[in-house]
Amino acid sequence: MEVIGQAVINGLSLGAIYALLALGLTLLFSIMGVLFFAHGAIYMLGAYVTYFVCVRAGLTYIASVLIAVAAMAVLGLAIEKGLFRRVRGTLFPPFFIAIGLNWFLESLGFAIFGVKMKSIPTVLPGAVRLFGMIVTYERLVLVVTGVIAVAALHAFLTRTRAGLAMRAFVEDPEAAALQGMSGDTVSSLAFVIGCSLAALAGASVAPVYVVSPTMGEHTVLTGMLIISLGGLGSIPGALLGAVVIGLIESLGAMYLGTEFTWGLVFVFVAIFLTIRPAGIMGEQHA
Amino acid sequence: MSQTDIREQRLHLHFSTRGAGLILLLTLLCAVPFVGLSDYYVHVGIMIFVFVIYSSTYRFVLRTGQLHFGAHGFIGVGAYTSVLLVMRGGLPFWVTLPVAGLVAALLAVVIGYPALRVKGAYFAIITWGFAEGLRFLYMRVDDPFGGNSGISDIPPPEAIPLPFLGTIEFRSLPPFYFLGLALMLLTVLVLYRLEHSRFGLVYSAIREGDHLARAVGIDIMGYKVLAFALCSGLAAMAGAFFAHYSGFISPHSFNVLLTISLGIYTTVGGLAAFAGPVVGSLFLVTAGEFFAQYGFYKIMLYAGLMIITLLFLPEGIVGLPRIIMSALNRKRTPAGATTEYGTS
Repeated sequence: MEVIGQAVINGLSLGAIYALLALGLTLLFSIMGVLFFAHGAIYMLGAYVTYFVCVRAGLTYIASVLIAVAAMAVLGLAIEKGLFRRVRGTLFPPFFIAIGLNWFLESLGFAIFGVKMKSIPTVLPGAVRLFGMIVTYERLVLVVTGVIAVAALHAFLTRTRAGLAMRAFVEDPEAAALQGMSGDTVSSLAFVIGCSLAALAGASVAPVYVVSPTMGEHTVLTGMLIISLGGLGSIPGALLGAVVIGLIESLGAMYLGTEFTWGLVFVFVAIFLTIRPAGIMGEQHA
Repeated sequence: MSQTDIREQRLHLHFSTRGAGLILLLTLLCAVPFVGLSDYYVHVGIMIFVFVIYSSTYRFVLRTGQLHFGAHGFIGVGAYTSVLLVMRGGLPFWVTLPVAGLVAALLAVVIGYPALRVKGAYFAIITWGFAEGLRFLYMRVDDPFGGNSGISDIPPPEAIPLPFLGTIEFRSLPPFYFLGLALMLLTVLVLYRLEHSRFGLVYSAIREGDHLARAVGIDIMGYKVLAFALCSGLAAMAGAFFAHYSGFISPHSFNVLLTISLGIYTTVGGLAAFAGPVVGSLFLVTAGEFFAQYGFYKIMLYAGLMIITLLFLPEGIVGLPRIIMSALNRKRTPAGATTEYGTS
């Protein structure tokens, strides 16, 4: 029982990381209409910036997280302005440009950071006993970070003019444009938010897991599965999907091994989508 | 001579130059192994043939309006089926090659019937999940799939006895080259005939609006499943050929990167044109081999080239001549002037 509890806690903290990534992915999907593959590379770069600022430059962890998020926000803006603005509205070019960008950034990561894995020394040592289970502070912080980020995004999308404009744009781009909303601004905003969330996820896992140039590869695929399971473009769906997949992965890793679980997650999502193509929360168009 | 006569003559001329061009190209292709190029170039040629088959079939599925993401699954089925039938079942390669295609086509029918009901990213995830599930089966089951380390020492195809001329032994590269060329020509011919027939029109109708197509009485599921099965079968045969050519397969030979590469070849070459995947495979396989000498930076160069092509050539490389022509025309004729094809 205790073992299961431990796995559930691990699954929830994994789910929090996945949620940060999936929110950005689903936001970008609803604006661009395609899956943004370079998200994994942004996540990796976020973790590396945190590592370099924290370990090499010796700043505090919190400061390095903020710097990483800001740096990736700028990179996101540059990516949107330089690449995706030109191909917005088309179907295949943005998808494959994102994949090319992912490869580019990943091999850039190898070139700059080397193939050796890095890790940030534990920021918050210690653990707390919750319901008879030992929970490290770090995992607790992961969950709390996830919850805060989700709440902030929700507030942004429902309370601010810019957030409302984004939702209006997703609902009906033409009508939104007629109301004077600029598609360019909305899409820039989506990239800035999505990339900052990915950087936040990368920065948060840096002290818990290891940092390597390929860390984003598997994670972005999981993110794709999560948002499809949840319903593409749906924010509550992305959250639910993140928690479900996080729990399956963590429980599966305990009983079946990681590789087997990965296959299982895939088959599970494929079967689920065959039965209910729109995902858990998506609208049933198909 | 009236205008239509001139047009008709031009049309004939056009077709005969195209025919002559094709014959020339074919002669050149056949000459490659004999002009003293090293084995490496012949090998690159064989890889290009394999990828032309993969990406042309892949494009055909995309042209039915389905975002296929499990092509690597079907290619893997072809390779594993043929290899296991040869190595465990003792059948000759010349039997297992079509059988591999048939098995993959049947599997495509089974998967296609439920999966082709949905479109876009959903179809992508379902086909991807299926392919990943198969890969996982090969990885976990050591007997007969060889598990993680795959299957090595795959025998080459059996020698073909030719009357009066001796036998063709698959011990050097040229026989593989011609077998690959033959498979590629077969695939391209089948797909070309299909696209330029009534079927091609039906697929265009389905892609542009499948509800409308259904409303005028087209059995869209039937047509979609047919295209899916045919393309999967042809790609699986190429996969079987590749397995016996390289002598080694593993679950990692058939991961999602393969399907992604096919998408890239097709889009970079030009999705709308039949020649797109052919040109794209030629261009990017060659570029990949060329960049290999830069070791560490090859992926960056490759990805950079890909991004630049996608950004600046929205219709792919196939659209390049048109862009150049229209740029030239714009210079020659003043803006707004009427040309033969309407206003420029």
